[in-house]
Amino acid sequence: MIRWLTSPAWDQVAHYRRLWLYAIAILVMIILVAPTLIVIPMSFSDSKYLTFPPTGWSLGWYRTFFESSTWLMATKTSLLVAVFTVLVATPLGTLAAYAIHESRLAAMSGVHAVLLSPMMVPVIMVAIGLYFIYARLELLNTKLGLVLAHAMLAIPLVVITVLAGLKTYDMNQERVARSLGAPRWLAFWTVTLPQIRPAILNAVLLSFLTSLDEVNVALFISGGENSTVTRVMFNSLRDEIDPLITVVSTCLVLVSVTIVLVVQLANRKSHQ
Amino acid sequence: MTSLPISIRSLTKAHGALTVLDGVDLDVRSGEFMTLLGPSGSGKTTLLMVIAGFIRPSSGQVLVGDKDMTRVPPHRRDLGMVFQNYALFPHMTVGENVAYPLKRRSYSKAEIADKVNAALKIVQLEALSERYPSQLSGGQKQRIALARAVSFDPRILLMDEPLSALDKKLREHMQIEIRDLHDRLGITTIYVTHDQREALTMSDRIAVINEGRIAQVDAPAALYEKPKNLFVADFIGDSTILPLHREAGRLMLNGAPIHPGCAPEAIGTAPHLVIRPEKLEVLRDGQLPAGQNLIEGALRSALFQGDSVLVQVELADGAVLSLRQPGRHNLPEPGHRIRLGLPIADTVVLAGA
Repeated sequence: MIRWLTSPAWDQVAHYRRLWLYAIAILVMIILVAPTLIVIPMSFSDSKYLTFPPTGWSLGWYRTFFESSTWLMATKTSLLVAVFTVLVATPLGTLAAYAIHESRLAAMSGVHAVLLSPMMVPVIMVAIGLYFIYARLELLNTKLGLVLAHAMLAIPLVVITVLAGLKTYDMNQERVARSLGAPRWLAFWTVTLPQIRPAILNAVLLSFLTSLDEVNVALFISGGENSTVTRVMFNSLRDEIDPLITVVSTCLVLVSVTIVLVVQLANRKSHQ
Repeated sequence: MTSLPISIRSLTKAHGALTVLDGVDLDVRSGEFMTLLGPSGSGKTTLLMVIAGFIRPSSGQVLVGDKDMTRVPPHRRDLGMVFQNYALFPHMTVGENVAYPLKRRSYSKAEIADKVNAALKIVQLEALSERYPSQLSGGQKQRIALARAVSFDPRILLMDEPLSALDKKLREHMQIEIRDLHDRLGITTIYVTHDQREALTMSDRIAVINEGRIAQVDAPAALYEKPKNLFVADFIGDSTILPLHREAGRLMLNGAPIHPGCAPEAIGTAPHLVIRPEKLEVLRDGQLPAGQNLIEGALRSALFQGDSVLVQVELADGAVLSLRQPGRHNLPEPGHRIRLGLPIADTVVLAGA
């Protein structure tokens, strides 16, 4: 094995000799997706309880979901908050990443650390802090409050992603554009932005999913008609365990997968 | 198109305790090809970036024509720029790249198409306007970057080591091409390089920069023949620099007198002799033509280098000097005594640090 690792690259390793490697890769992938995939057949169950494998098939729980105003309202809240989180976090995070990348100020490393700090603190602490601040600002149980909180959680991801994109970008291009007569914002818009587009699309994806999947903060600061899906799921799990929850999960998986695919497709297009 | 002179007045740039540019004064004449030459870290690129408007100086002024440009943002300076790595926009075609500066100005579509064509014609790449930069060779990219920098008839062209990414042969070809382009457009050009041969080949005048100051500004030949200080003498060309002694008002090298090409009182303290390898001539025994200084030593080696022979001579004090001559004729055997003549007119003596 050591000899295999140290042998030069041109020494081709036969496929059968790395079967173990493929086996590990497949195992890891199964472990990653199995919990997600197991939920989907469970959502088509006709049982009153969570069972796997289901004893019989039915769309009954889907009907229950689409007839429940609580669930529909929560879904609408979650999607709306996720979209606005993207709209707030992506531009702000991108501008911050640009500043961190371009500035030669010594204080900029401090700014960088502050922007990443929501990732370093346990989310539950962030949630508790937000609860007390929002109580004073009367932002509890509002969509605005949720968007601001989720944007705070998403901005570090946007900053990291866009910074990585800027690292492989040649800033001289923007300088050339400026020397050729474009004001700085226009040079950024016409030259820099199209080239860091894959990073920005990934940032969009990450902030959307961060908001959609978020539970901790939502538990503390959302409620009433502005409850998120994740919060309603959590409540319903506490009261009763029925297959409705798997219907919601399946829908969330569907939304996430769609978004990931759209971003992947857009990235591939911008590569060409 | 009229080109404009550039005047740089006591320009200083400091980052905290570090002084990158230290009171630089430089006048570039209208239509001149001026090269900023210096080792890396000398401040030459910083000076170019100040002229372009990307770096704000701590003090001093940049004048273009009689207009003070010091506080004008880069996009209103009306100058073309070419960078080391071309900096073509990879998401635009060649034509769109060249049209970029034109679209920022109020030209009609037809005018833009005409000017793009004209610019591509200048660099002889009209056929490539639909290609993307990734489909071009290094030399083609460089030409497109040039076309883009001149398509809008700027008054000034700035180039930051534009040829350093090319291989030697292409680089030498492009040197002539860029110089030719400059002559055709008559545009005031400031060119940054650390390659002295490139600077000597292309420039009307060269500003040698060292540690944020201008060491000398002169035409290439003057810079080479008459360096004004030891830094320039050492940086330009292959020189041997030997310390001289003063004895009774005369300059001495290993006990032999050296007559300088300039007045000895102009030299100052710690005089040094600067010798260019091609200025020395091997003398026969007993021969000493009038108007020459005599230097004696022992032949150490004679290396054949294709177009010339590089001869190394060891002096009495152990110092080694080099000379270059066309062939091996009239050279003694290694280890034997050799007598060298240096014309007094070419005898450069400079004050040491």
